[in-house]
Amino acid sequence: MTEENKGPGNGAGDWIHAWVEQQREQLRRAATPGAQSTDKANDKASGAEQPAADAMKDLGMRWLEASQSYLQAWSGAALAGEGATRQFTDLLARMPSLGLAREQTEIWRELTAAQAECQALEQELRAVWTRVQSDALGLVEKMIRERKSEPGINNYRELYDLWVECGEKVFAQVAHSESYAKLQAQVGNAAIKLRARQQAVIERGLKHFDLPTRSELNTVHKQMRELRERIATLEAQLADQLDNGRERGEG
Amino acid sequence: MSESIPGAAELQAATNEFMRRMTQGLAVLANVRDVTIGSVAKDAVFKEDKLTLYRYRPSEVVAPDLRVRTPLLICYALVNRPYMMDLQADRSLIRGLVQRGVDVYLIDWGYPDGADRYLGLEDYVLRYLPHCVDFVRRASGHEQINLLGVCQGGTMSLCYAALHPQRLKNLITMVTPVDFQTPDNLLTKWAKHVDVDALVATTGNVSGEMLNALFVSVMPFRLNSQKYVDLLDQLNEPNVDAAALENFLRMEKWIFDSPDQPGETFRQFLTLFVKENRLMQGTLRIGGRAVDLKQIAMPLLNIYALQDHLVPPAASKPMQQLVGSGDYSTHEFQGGHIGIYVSGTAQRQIPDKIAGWLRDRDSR
Repeated sequence: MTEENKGPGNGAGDWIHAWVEQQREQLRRAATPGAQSTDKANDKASGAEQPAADAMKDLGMRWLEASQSYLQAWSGAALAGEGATRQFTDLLARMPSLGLAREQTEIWRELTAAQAECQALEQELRAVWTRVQSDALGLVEKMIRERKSEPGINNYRELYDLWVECGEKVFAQVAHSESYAKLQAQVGNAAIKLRARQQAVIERGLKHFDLPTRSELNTVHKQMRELRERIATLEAQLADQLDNGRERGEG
Repeated sequence: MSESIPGAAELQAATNEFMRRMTQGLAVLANVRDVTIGSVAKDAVFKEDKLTLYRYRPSEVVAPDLRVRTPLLICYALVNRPYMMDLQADRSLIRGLVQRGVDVYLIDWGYPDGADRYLGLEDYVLRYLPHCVDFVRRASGHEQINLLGVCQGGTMSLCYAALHPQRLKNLITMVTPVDFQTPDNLLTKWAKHVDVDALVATTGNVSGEMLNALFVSVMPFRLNSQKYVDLLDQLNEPNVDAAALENFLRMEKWIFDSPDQPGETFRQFLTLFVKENRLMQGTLRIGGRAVDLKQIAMPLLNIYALQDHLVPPAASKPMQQLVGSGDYSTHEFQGGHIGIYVSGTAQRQIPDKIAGWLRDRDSR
């Protein structure tokens, strides 16, 4: 290798250069019909025939080997620096989507974000419900203590009813609060957002197979409704005209 | 549970006994047959899209001079099914009215589907409801008819009455809200931060199942758990009341047989009525037309339930100040939103009240 064709890096980036060369070699082999390895070329030279299927299999095996070596390299890197990889992934997630797969990447990224938001809010709401149940138990204890002089709880059913009563009492206080109303609505809104993102992904798939989507049906239904409204207006106008005509003795 | 914990053995025994009763109850429940709904014969007399207008066959035993001559059209809510008005022979407002000589028509809105998602309030208040009113007017030969609106159907009836007062002789509203922002209204509080535009844009129609989940979550311990424990527990009694069990199952069917709400109607209703309280503010417009409740000058009977947790009395009472009727009456019912149709007290009070009130105004 000469200094001129050392490529990017000029010494420090030798591995990059080697990788470039490796890719070139792979591509050259793949692009050249009848291109063979030294052994195969020797076989050919010795007159041995190789069916086309074998040649393809051979090529496939080489790609597989190459990709396995890449995977090993990547997984090794990942093991070596998991934190760094996560940082890199986070960075990728925040980068604007680019290239041919830009739109695909974008809708999947939005879906993932909506899912994460929904899960976080659901967890928050579940925490409130857990607190309601915990406070309800506290109230059950308190009410039983206060009942000391009265007849106590005699069976499981009575205890259950008291628990329900306390649960409703605690929940009513929470449910009427502004913070709960807000959180519950946030969960609902996040779930709707998630559903919208899921629909976007599905609709993209449906379009790919030229299948009708809900958005297209919506357009049709909207048009139908508008047409019906116009027909009703025309019918009403026609009826008025007929009535007026009759009144004037024209009919 | 460890035996060393004080009371552990007793708790185990009590739990076992409770579970035994529940299991025994389930065994009885498994042998119950399907329930039937409805008790009064009716005929479908008009159809439009998914709407069906029924006329109940008049009772032949009512003397002609006791009949209410002006027909009564019942406008039910879009939420839930209208067969609540005639659930079974001994729980039927319609049967009670028919037996008292009232000629009853009922609007069944049907089950909206995806094709109905763009139906708006104007379709219901300015198209479907007027078509039903006009049909009854033509069929009965009466220029004016009586209209009874139930819950959300009552709110729509108020809007219709304000826009077409000349077509109505009398108006009755049952458990009908006009003020959607009273302090005790939990559903309004919950709706405040909901992005209803996004909801409808994403789901199209709003599913009945989702609304049921919302209604049940108002009292989650009672409605998700206790009422079923009550049922199973009662089934352990030596003389299980088969009729009471069937009543329970019939009610369960009604509660959860919820049509989806047409998306645009739901969006408008939640925005205009619930979030912006426009009926109360006097700023409501439907299909570009201003809804002025002062135009309601016909006699009006407003019936509400004192223990109603969905439409609290405070949400209904301000109606008197909003309408222009000089003949405004109220009837307070001791019970809840559902009890007003199905309880024993309701069977004794409500049909009598309505039929009597209509009869008094029939010849005026």
